[in-house]
Amino acid sequence: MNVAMNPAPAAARRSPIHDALEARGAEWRDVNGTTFAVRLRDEPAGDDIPAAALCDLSGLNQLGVKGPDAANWLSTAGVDVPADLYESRPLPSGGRVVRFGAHEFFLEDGIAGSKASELSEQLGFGAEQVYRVEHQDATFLLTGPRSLDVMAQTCGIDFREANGGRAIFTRVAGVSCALLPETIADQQAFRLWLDPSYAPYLWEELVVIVESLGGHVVGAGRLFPDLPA
Amino acid sequence: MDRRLPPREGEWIDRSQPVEFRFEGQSLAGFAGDVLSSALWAHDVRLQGRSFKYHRPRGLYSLAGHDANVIVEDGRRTNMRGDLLPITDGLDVYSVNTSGGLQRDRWRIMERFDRFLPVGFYYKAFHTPRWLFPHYENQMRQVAGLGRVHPGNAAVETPKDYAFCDLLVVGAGPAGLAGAIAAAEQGLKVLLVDEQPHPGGSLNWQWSGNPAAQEQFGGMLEQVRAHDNIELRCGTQAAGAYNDYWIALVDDRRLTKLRAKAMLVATGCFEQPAVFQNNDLPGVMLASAAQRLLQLYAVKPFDRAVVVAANSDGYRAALDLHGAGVEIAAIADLRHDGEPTGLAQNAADAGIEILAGCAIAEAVPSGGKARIQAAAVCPLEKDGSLRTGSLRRIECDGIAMSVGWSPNVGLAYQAGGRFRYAEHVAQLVPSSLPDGLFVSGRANGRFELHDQIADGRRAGLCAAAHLGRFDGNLPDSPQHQASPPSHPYPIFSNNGKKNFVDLDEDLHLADFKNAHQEGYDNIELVKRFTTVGMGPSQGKLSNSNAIRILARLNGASINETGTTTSRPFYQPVRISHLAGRRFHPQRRTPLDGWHRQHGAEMMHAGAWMRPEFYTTSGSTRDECILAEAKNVREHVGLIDVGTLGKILVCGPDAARFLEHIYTGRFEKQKVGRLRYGVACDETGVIIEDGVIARLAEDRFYVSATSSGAAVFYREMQRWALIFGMKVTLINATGHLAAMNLAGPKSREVLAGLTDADLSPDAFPYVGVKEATVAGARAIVMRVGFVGELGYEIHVPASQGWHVWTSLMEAGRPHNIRPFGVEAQRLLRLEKGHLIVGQDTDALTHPFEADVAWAIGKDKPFFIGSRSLDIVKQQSLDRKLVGLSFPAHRSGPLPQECCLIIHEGEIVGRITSIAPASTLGHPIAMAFLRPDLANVGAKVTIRTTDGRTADAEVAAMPFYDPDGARQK
Amino acid sequence: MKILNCPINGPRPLQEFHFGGELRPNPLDRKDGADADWADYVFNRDGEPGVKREWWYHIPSGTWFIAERDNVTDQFQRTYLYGAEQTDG
Repeated sequence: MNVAMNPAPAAARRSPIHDALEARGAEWRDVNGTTFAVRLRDEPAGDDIPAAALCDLSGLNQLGVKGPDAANWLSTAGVDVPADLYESRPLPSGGRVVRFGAHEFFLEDGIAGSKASELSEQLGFGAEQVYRVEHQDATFLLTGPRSLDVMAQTCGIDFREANGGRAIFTRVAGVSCALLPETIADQQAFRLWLDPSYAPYLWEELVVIVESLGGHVVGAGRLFPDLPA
Repeated sequence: MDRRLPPREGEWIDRSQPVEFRFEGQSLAGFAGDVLSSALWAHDVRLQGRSFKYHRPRGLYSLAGHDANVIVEDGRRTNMRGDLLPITDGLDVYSVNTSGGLQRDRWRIMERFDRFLPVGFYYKAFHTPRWLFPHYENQMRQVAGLGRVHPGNAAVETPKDYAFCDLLVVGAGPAGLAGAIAAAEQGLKVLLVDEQPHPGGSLNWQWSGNPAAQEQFGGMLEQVRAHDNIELRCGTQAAGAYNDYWIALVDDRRLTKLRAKAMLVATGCFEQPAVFQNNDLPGVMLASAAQRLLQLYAVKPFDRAVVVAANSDGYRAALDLHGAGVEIAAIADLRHDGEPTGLAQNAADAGIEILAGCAIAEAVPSGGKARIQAAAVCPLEKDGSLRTGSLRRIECDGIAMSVGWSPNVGLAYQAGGRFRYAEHVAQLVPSSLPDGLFVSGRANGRFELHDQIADGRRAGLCAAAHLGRFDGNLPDSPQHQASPPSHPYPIFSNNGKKNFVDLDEDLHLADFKNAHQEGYDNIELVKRFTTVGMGPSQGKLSNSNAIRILARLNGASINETGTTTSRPFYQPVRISHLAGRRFHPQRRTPLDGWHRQHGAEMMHAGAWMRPEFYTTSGSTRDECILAEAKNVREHVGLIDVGTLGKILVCGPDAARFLEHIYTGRFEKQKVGRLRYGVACDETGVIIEDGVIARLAEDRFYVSATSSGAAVFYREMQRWALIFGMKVTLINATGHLAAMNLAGPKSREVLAGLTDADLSPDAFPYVGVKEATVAGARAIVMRVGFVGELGYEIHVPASQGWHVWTSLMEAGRPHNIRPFGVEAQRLLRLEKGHLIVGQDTDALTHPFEADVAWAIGKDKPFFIGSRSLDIVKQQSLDRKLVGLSFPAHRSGPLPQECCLIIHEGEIVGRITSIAPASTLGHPIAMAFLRPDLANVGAKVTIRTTDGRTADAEVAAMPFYDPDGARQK
Repeated sequence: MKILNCPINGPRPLQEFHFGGELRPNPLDRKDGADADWADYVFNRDGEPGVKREWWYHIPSGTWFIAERDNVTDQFQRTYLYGAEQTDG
């Protein structure tokens, strides 16, 4: 199957909750070909992270690969392939790769990263025994001292007993998610990946709970102050 | 009259915060910390409720939430109980179940008809004459029921949350406190809950005169408060225990779903009433209620009282009351040998007359029955019956009962505990407990304070040992040495009919004898026939005595009689708590915002939101839909089909796998081509249809129905395991946006946006290409769909908006309009395309649905093939046909599921219908008996209003039968 | 809420799972018998009390596995991936 190269620029990408952010007066900024809401109109002033902070990072480049040769293909391409199921390892130039299955991997670039998008180009429409898993996941970040209380209202996992750096496949407010507990600016944080068709619903539910606990929806700039201009 | 006493050590009221409230229209004052019943009793308001059946006057009884005598509502909230409802400024409540107020309740006349209202009377009355039943029913609905629900109440969202702990300790009385401390010291994370607003349990009101006990209490409280491993939650009930120590904890704000690793039940006992004539009137109460009233709320319960006792607790209660200025006229001790401890001497020293071997035969009411004026006491024969010849009347305004205890262990039953009756304590005690479940304190039959505490400590250490955190010696459980704290049969018949066993249901002793006489001799039958234990207090004060009564009637033991099943909830739980935030996940395509901005009327399609049609001002819904459809046939339309299932089937066995799943053939399908597929279940019934496109030798792209995709993918995963095939399955449904550009101008619109060669030779009908569209990586397919030239375009979801708006922009010179689900349905119906689940049902196989052509020839196996081999031999009952209605017609049109009638028989039904089509007349799809289904045959359909509509069987497709337009 | 121990994801509340029916023979092995035997395979299930082998699916991770459950006591005894009966799940 021939694939002609397209001379036109790549199509613009939009967060699945673009409209909800626009309604909050988002300041949009293009970083590395991806658009982020760096600040929202009603965000509290200053740099502090609120009691609970909810942030949309849905522009990050993602790639899924699955198949008997997937691990090999990644390794050859310079990726530190996680050995254990659900283990997360860093990608060169920022971001992470997580093992989602015996033969399945999920890559997400950091804000300034490019490995996932390079590999996506390289993969094209697919290779032998390595198949593209289309990933257009919404990425939500929840952090702050009360982030655990937000999770307690939506998710039945005991996070005190959760292994750091391991993805957890579970349900949040009734929606299947992959969850990665992490630390951001010394605070406990939760990264949620989910099917984008559920993103507007889950976002609204999380916003209500976050705000009821005295938290705020924030732009990406609050959590990543060195966002390139 | 003011019954409030001077401040007492340990009282729960805060005298610095007076509270004004209203009860039955009367303004009253109390203090913060008062509950309604205590504040009312402080003003000597004893009449606080009316009973369910007889509307007898009722008052304070347990003051612990164990009875349901006092139920009030305020116009917004209902089902609030007097002994649990804290008074607050502005509280304005009325009693439920009255007509004309508590005092003048018109229904109090019911008591006069008691001989017509024996147990189970409603099973035997009211069914004849039949024509009167609606009248009876109306009347009963007026009279019965407790409280009103107000439909106008706004929905409330309450936060539900999850919590985790190692050990849940239920009950913060002496045993619970000791257990929590012992477990926490071993490193366990302990959650200690108590339904009362303060911890301490019986230590708060039963040991007030005992400084040693109070000091021990203070010490334990301090330890609990200081310990990092203990979280204390008061005002919280453990409403129910579910599998694997999943416990529902309920407070007034929310419901917490707790997962514990072990549970310690230290919930104590319900004090039990004695059964005698008029034992339900205001002024008759449990001794513990009098102690609570006195100690927690500083209210003097009575002026002059008779105490009926069968244990030491009764004597302690009498002495507490005496110490507060209540004149104790006598203690009637049910035991012939009286009280064995020194408490008997203490009582005698206080000048209290002790009548050993005596019982109360009757509480004598004052006029109007809202108070009592005397107790009729009489000696007991050796067999426990009353020697009524020697009745003695003792003037009093209160009777306190302390005759026994019943363990509060519903939670333990629910968690798998089993209990047996133990004679030495005359109550149920655990006989077997599953791993991780512990019971201690009075609930475990330990009644001395030091025993309760030791037993609690033992249980805490056992829990720690169970969780592997303690490997020292476990202490033994202390044995109860003293006399039984409960009387085995505190039930006295004096031929009266108002000696109540169940106050909620107004059941008296004779009701049980009558039920037994009718043959209801098993505890489950007695419960359901008499309704004992089925009222709001769920048998807390009645089940124990009912079992004792039944055992005696049967001449059996308590263990032989058994008990009924304990179920959640322990106390009523608000429905708003159970509903919580009501998570109802909804799915949206990336174009959802665009649709709304452009006037789409959105509709629910399973979990998705989809545009039904796009509104244009001045047009009706039907006009909009038809206009959208016409525009597709004449120019070009664009529809969001992002809800479609999108599954990739990859790997060396991909084609072989698909041949197993679908009825058709795929091994020889060419790369770059797609075909329509039908999938069946093992019975041969159609479950899915869709398009299978071959992108590469080892890659197929499958479109499945929106509503069936998730299940279909899941089943594919399972079949791949069962067949052991080398196949990789990928579900991309939510991750790809999809839109269908359809109409004669579609090629022109798309050409400028893609690198793919769209000429008919390069990209024929049923071809598929991977290409770039508007800068996005895309899969483009030429499918039949609505029967016009068209291209279905699938792109990554985040680029869906850009691609859609680019197409709309490129289509402007060509009259492009978006079209919605209804227009799509109409267009597809015109082409005779069936919708799985609408035009097929749970029994439809390919032969009935005219898709047998999709079954591959000479296939050795596909899912359902063996069943279809059998079905093929049978004659068809029905087949799917097209129906055509005249363009100019009058009368109603049928709807989906309307029946086709022939010679008085049902011969078919409508499955889909379009009232207006681009052909100019209504069309439908229907099931019809094959012998009546020749093209041109006339059919008659019954419409929903009972009239009929005529139609004619028509060949499908209705539109462009040769399919020239889509090629 | 019952806990079910997914062989891949560990112990999770039952709500995260879908019950897939009893484990049944491969239809490929049954298709060549008599019609009556095929009908029995398609329509009938084993209602006897005892330890059942059942299909269960962990919804968030898309994992199918087998669980052995005593349906008298409603206790899960063990779980394992299909085809991995020899090792404990």
